[in-house]
This record gives sequence, C-alpha cells and structure tokens, in this order.
Amino acid sequence: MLTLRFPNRYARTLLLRGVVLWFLARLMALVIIAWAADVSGVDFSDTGAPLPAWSLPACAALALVDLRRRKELVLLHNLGVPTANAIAVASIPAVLIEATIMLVRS
Amino acid sequence: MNQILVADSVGKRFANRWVLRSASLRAVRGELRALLGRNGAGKSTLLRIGAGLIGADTGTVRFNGVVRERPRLTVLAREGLCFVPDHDLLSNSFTVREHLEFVRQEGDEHDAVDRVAARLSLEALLEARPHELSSGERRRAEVAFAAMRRPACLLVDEPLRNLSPIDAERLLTVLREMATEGCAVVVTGHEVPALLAAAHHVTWCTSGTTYEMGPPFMARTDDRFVRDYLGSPGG
Repeated sequence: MLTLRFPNRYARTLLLRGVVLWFLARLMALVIIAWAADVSGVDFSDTGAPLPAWSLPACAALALVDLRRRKELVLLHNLGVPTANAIAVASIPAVLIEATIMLVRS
Repeated sequence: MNQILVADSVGKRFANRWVLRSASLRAVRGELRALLGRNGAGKSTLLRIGAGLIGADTGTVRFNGVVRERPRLTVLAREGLCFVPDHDLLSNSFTVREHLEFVRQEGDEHDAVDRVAARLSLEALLEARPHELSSGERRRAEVAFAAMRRPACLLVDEPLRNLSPIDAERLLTVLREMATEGCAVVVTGHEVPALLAAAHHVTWCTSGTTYEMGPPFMARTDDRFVRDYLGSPGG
C-alpha cells in the first residue's frame, strides 16, 4: 500500500522560506506604517496585541502567493499535502519569531 | 472493480463556453488508455476534473468505488492517484533525486531511485534541478517521479510533448510497464502513431463528449475518428 508523508526536506525548505517571508512581511509593514504615520500623524507601530495582528495572516498570505508563484501546489497535492498544511508550516517561523520578540520586549 | 477512476457524464463550463457537455473518463487497472482529441476538445480539463484539481459543473467522479462529492487531489493522492500536468510538476527548489526520494516507499531497495532514473535515461541528471533541464528531460523526470510513486492510478497530460522519438518510446515503455504491473494509466497527447502503438484502449474526446473507441486497431477503422481527428487513414 502506498504511503505518503510530508517529506522532511520539503518541510525544512518551507520553514526557511517562512523566515524570508516573515522578513518580507515585516519590511512591508514597516513601510506601510511609516507611510500611514506620515500621512495621518498617528503612531500605528504598537497596537497592544499579544502578537502583531497583521503578522501571521500576512505571512500565511505571502506563503500562498509564494507557493503559487513557484507552481508547487500540484506537487504538494500529489504528495498528499493540503495547501493549508504547507502554509501552516511556512508560517511557523513567523509565530516563533514574533513570540520571541514579544518575550524579549516584556 | 477494475475501473479505479470513473468520471461520468462530466460537464464543465468556463465563462459562457461549455468545454465539456457529457464526457466520461475511465481509468482501468492494467490498461494504458489514450485520451485523444483536437486542441481545445477538453482533454486536459477532463483529466484535471478526474484528478480533483478542478470541479465539474455536472456529472460524478468515482474513485476506488466511492463517489466523491468534491474530489480533491490531496485526498485522491493518498488513495493512490498521481497526476502529472502538462507542465511544471517539479519544483526548482529540489533536485531530480530529491523529488524521487520524496515518494520513495519504506520497503524500496537502496538503489530504487537510481533504477527508476536508469529506466528513463536520467542517471546523469539526478543532481540537476528542473530549471536546468530541457523540456523533454523535465517530462522524463516527471514521469520518473510518477513511476517512483507506484500509484494505483496515473493520469498524465501530454507526456510526449517535446520528446525525441527515442525518448518518447522509452517513456511509453515505462508507462506501459506500469500498466502491466496493475496501474491504471491514462495519457493524452497528439503523437498519434506512438500513442496508438502503446495504448490498450482509445477514448476520443470531441465536441464536449467522449467516445470509447476500443483497442487502437478499432479506432483506426472508425470512419468518423479517421475523418474528423486523424485527417488521414492510419494516423
């Protein structure tokens, strides 16, 4: 009987990409926050949320865009890996990094 | 239950155009089936519906004897289906060897990857990434991925595109061997002589529907198939 699993090598690659995507999301957020503050005069940098509310959805959305851009969805599906699982793996670095930042700040 | 995949009376509309009206796709264990038809006839759409990549507007998809309300490739893959699209199955982030290792089974012998690669003349390309390969080499690597997985049902969209005659013959030999080992294989393409020589059964897709032509020798003697698809006797 055929057994399919999420290959470790693939998961590691998604984790590494997740780090890059987190940097990208942060960079985009910095630019947007700086622009919004410039326009409105309000400081948006600290909303008081336990984790920055935008960070995880932004990383998840970027992960989906990245998988589509790389045309890897059919490969993942052939490996029995749902898109949501791949996105979840790619979002793990964002969760860990944001949690670490939160701990250091507190 | 020899028919592992049955997509029955499938209809699919894109915008206002019905690409498929009442088409059927059957994948039968031990058979290599050729799905033939003119450009735009809906072959790839039918294959993608059977693989669970897109949904049908009408009709049903049955896999392993179970009707699937919303078939998904992720689920079907775990039950033994493998789908090779007409381009870009493999990721440029991994080498050919890594792709084959992804689907290597626990009981496989140590040199299983090398043996599958040898069957498709890919030994020298195992450490290359797909973007370093020619389109023909990529097609062979994609079929090697499918062969390594040993699926119960394999759907391949245009496997012979951009292949030299010798490589096409080798690839069809591998697909036919997979069928002989019990896999249900369906391939599409326009390389009529090669496909008719290799296939056990021909399905003709035309005008939004499909006709089961039977073995290739019967397809070759069907007046309408010859006139409307082959264009010349014997293809």
